[in-house]
Amino acid sequence: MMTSTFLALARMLVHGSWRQNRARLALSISAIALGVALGTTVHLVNYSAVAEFDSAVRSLSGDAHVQVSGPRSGFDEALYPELANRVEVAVASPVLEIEAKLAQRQGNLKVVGMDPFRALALQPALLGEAGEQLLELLRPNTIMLSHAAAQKLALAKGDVLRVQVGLNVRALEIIAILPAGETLRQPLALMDIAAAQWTFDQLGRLSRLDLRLRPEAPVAATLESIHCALPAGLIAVEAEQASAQGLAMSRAYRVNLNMLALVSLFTGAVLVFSTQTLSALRRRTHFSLLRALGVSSRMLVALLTGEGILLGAIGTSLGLGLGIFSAHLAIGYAGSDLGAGFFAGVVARASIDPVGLAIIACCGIAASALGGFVPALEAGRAAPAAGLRAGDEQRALETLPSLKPGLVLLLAGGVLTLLPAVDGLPMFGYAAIAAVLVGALMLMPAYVRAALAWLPRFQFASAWLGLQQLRGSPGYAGISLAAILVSFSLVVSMLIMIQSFRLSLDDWLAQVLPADLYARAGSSTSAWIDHKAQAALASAASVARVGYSRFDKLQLEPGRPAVTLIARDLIPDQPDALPLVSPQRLPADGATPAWISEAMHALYRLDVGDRLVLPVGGSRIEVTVAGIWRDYVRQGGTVLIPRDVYIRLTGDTRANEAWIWLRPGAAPDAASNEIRTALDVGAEIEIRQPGTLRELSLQAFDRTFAVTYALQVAALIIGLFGISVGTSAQAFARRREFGVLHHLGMSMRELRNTVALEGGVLGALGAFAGLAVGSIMSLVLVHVINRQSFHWSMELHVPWLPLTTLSLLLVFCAALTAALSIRSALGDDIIRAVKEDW
Amino acid sequence: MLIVRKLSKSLGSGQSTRALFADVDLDIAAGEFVALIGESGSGKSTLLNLIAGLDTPDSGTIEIAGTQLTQLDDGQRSAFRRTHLGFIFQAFHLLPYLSVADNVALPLVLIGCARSEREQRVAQALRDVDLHGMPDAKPHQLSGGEMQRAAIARALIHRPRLILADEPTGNLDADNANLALDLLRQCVAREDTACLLVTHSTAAARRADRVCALGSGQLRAAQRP
Amino acid sequence: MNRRTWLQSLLGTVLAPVSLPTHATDFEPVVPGRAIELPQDEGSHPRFRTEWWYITGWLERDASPIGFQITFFRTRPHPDSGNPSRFNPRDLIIAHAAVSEREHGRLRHAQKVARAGFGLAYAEEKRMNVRLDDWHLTTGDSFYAARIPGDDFALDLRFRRTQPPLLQGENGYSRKGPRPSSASYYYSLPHLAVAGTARIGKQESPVRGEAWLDHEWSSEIMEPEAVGWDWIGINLDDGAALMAFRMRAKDGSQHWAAATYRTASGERRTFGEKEVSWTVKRRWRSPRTGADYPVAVRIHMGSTSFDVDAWFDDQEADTRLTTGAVYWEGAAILSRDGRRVGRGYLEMTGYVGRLRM
Repeated sequence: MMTSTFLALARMLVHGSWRQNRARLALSISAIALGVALGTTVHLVNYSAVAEFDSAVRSLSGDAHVQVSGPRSGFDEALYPELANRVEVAVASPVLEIEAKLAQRQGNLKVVGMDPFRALALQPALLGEAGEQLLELLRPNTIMLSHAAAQKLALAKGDVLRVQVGLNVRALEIIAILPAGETLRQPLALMDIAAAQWTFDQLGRLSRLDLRLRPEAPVAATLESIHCALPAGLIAVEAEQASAQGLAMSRAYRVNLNMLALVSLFTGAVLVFSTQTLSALRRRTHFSLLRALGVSSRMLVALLTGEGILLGAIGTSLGLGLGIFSAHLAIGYAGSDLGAGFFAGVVARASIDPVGLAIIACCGIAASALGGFVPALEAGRAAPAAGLRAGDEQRALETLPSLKPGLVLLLAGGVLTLLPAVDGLPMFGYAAIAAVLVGALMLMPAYVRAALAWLPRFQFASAWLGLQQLRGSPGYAGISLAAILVSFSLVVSMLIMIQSFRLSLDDWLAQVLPADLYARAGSSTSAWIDHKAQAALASAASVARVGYSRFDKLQLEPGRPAVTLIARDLIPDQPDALPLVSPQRLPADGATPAWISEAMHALYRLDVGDRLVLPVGGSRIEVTVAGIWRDYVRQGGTVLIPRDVYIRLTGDTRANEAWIWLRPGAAPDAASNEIRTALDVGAEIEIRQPGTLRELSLQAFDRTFAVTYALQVAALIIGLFGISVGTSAQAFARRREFGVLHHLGMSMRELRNTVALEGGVLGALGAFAGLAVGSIMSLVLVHVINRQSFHWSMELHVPWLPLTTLSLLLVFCAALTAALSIRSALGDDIIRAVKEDW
Repeated sequence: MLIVRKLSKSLGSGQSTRALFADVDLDIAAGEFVALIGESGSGKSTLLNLIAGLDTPDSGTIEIAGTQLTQLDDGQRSAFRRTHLGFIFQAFHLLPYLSVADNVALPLVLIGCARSEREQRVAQALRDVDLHGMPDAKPHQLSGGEMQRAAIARALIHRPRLILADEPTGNLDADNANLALDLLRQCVAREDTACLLVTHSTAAARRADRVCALGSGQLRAAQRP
Repeated sequence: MNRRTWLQSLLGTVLAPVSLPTHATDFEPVVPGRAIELPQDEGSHPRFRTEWWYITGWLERDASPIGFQITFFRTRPHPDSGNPSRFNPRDLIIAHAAVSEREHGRLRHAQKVARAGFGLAYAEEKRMNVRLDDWHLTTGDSFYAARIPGDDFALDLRFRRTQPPLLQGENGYSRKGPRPSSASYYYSLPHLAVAGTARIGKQESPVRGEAWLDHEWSSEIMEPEAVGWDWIGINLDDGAALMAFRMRAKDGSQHWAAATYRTASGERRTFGEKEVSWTVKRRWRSPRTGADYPVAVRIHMGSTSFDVDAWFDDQEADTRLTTGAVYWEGAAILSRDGRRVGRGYLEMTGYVGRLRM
């Protein structure tokens, strides 16, 4: 009985209202769909990247239990028999991984040198049908390409792959293309480990050992005992954690993106909430009538909540579909790191994460349900008699909520910024932003009232009327503003953060590029400048001075991303091109000085004067921190030591990079050519001028943030939806009012102008509030979230011009949106609406 | 003041056209209070809308204070309405978000009246309708009679030449209805305004100077009830 | 499955080296007249392409007897490239072991492969000492020892010589076809006394018995015309020893054959290609590979003939999913005139396509 009554009521009220207001309905649904779609897209893109990265790691190490790894420069192969002979070890698979620079074309290719007999024991499916070519692979200079690599490089079986080793080119015969199976989806190449060691001048070196333990060996204890026995700089981790370690570098970036996605979901939710609220308000008289007719307030709440859930479910399913679709597009177009370069070389396919999607769906539906529930609760509580009177919704819109919760939230936001990172993630920073946003939302009606009271009373009729309407209903204005506030403040904060970062980066680049020319053998591990080339470089006529840098990556602690070691020619008293953020203090006792990046300072809690043990070249060296510098390139931390110390420890005289100061009067272009001739190389060495490097860095920066721009645009659109929803929800309710005004002598145009003005004022209020809240949020982003995620500091820079332009654009769009959304309400029937009682 | 000649209006279009009235003539002089009666659906409201320039006739002319309404476009008609016409509705139609004073001031705002003069005139108008005690009240805080008095004040504040009142007493009890009509009559007399009152109420019609009845597509002079 | 695929193909290569193009100078050729000197020649001969140590035998235990087979291969996949890397895959070590238990009805077998190096896998020169991770075949003071800790089964055996070595062919120069170059150096150690333990599943038991060791090295064994071979190595109950093989052509006909018979007193007689022939008495079709194996044969050697009967039919090393070879390698019983005279092993290769990569 109850059920059927309920259903009948639902049909009458909800369905009726929907039919009357198709546009509002569509807007509600598309708002939630857009929010959900954004969340879904970003989440799926991230999820796919991680899944892909994980499977890329797994596909090579198969069912290994333990992974032993060390510096990027590798470790001594003598460890291999040592570990293989341990009783707990069933299979030990040695791997030499090289980021090989491709010769005569752009880019690098990951070459995995392995012992197929050992690797296949861990990963039987590694070679697939190419297993028939196994014996061929044992010959020197043969290589197998994964299907993805063959496609990317447009090479086929029998072709020759040229790679750069040092400054020389070596040719490798492609003897097979690995089948495009599940295991090896990434672009990479397989070589026999012996051939790889020989080809890439890495005799005696390994970069990894994958171990499978005997079934009876306890994994944790064995891991511990292996780890303790390892030489300096090597770590043993459980294979499951190996990919986590690789992912650690991009974790903060991914979390940041996910947070952005959440914010867009939140924006959509706020929008749905305000739409539902307005719609419930509009139907207040209906509800009061129902209450008068004997419908319980509980039933009313159920009715509206149910409506919210239904709308939410429709919008959410549309959003999920749209999100999955656009995730595919995004991955196909921009790659799984959305252009940020964290997963360079990883080819992703969009994978579906049911749990994540379910959570997103729940968020979407919950927001919509809440949007029905809260106003229903309020309507249910109101005395039906009062609600029946015409104009009663005015009462609800007029009353100002208490300021206290909003202020408390703002305060809480401030306190949250003081808390440290959780597990390397700025969780409290995000919480602070959420608190500030929600707090600001709650203060919106008060803000609107205060701001409007402050505005002059215009004499111009449209303006007077529009402002009076807003003044009269701060609740309505607050609700309409919610979405635009959320989205615009997000955009503002991102813009300020990006601008701060970009300008700080630009300043930084100017500091770290002091030389006239930069020569680099490439970013790969296979290319370097050997001592012969160094000698040739020094003797070039236009060269005054050359300083070299050698890069390596060290594993200081398991579970942490590798730390970059830079060995650079420098004068310890005045190290040039080091953007120090601390005072420089050389160790008095003649110990080796080291300059650490801010990330090292934060991650390893090191300060100037502290001692640090570095595993370099298989032995441990103690260095003293002489200064802390800003490094915008390497999040995992960087430690810089004098190159002569490095050479003394390792005997490694190779260099990755040369800084070249020219003799006075030498032209950089001519000097580049002279250097190439002197070194007798062509494209094997990159010679660049500081200006070009700066440009390239900034381009890379812009690429990284490209995706955030897309998210910002989407958020802004949702915000504008908010204004449109607000105005059009009001439009129907105000049809009578427009009719009266028309009677009183306002032309249709003036009416439109009034509404446009209302929209514009709302937009302006939103823009202003957004600027304020966004600025606060940007402070949190710059000083809390960035610091805690990436450990680097930056100066605050405000992009005045873009912010002003955007604010004006917002006001204009808001006015336009309002004018457009009111258009349908301003038909002929507004004359008749005057006759209607409701 | 108001001269309506040969005014015809049909509803619908094409085959299903139904003539509402044809060749209606109506004259109202300044200071004259005319009641228009007729059965529901006889076209009273439509006639009122035509006179207000809110609707366009099929044929015929409407002249108010020397202006041919039918020759104006929407903007001009709106401008004309705001200066020459006043409206009173059955459901009062005060704007919910405006205070009583602002509701009354609305027509003055529309004609761009200076604020000081406006405030002065609003105060006077509120006194006239006996609402001077509650200028800041919102409509939903008023009783029906108070709302209609505010609406009357609004209709008169800009000294229109013609007041169009559509069932102004329809939502009021007898006492309040009488009070409203008294007010209306007083003001019309004071300002020398013409007034066309559409009503079902014989009590209301009885207060008019003259009564016209709309029926069977014709407008005829009728006996005062 | 996949692991078996490549391993099996590899085993195929070892046994069919001629399928790879080689230059005469890359590997040392097998020539007649080279004296086999023991014990030095028990060790590895890395200048030759392929080499194997192959032990088969019957073991008695409390329960019914079992047959076993342990093989270590050393193969050089390519001429040495000169790669200075310690990983240079100069030699591969491959090992194969199987146990036959009649009640079980089919083989239990295990395989392993690794490149020689780092002390993890090697075949020592001058001394029989071959290791592949924890699989080991070595020489002690007065015995040989084999340790095979497989998953399904484990063997830990010691072998004692009871008879002098038996040189096959012309003093160890054993021809495999009409071309003199296709030949191997080949000697056998029959009637090895075995003692040790065998674990089958979880059941470990002390065992004793008699075994046969073959050691053979070569650079070119199978001629292009041949598709596979049948081989027996039998310890006769009276102390005599019998080895016979035939290379088969594509049509099933005999491409080459040879046999050696030595009496307990040491009289040795070799039978040339013309004197040996095999008659099939019964075939068994493998339900897995569809291969038709002659599991009962009569071997005619000069005027005498022996019957060889598989102990049980299904002793096929099942690698049906592979592209490579499938073997039948199992315990067999030798009889003459219907009376059992010995026990040993029968090997049949090339019944599922030619042995190939």
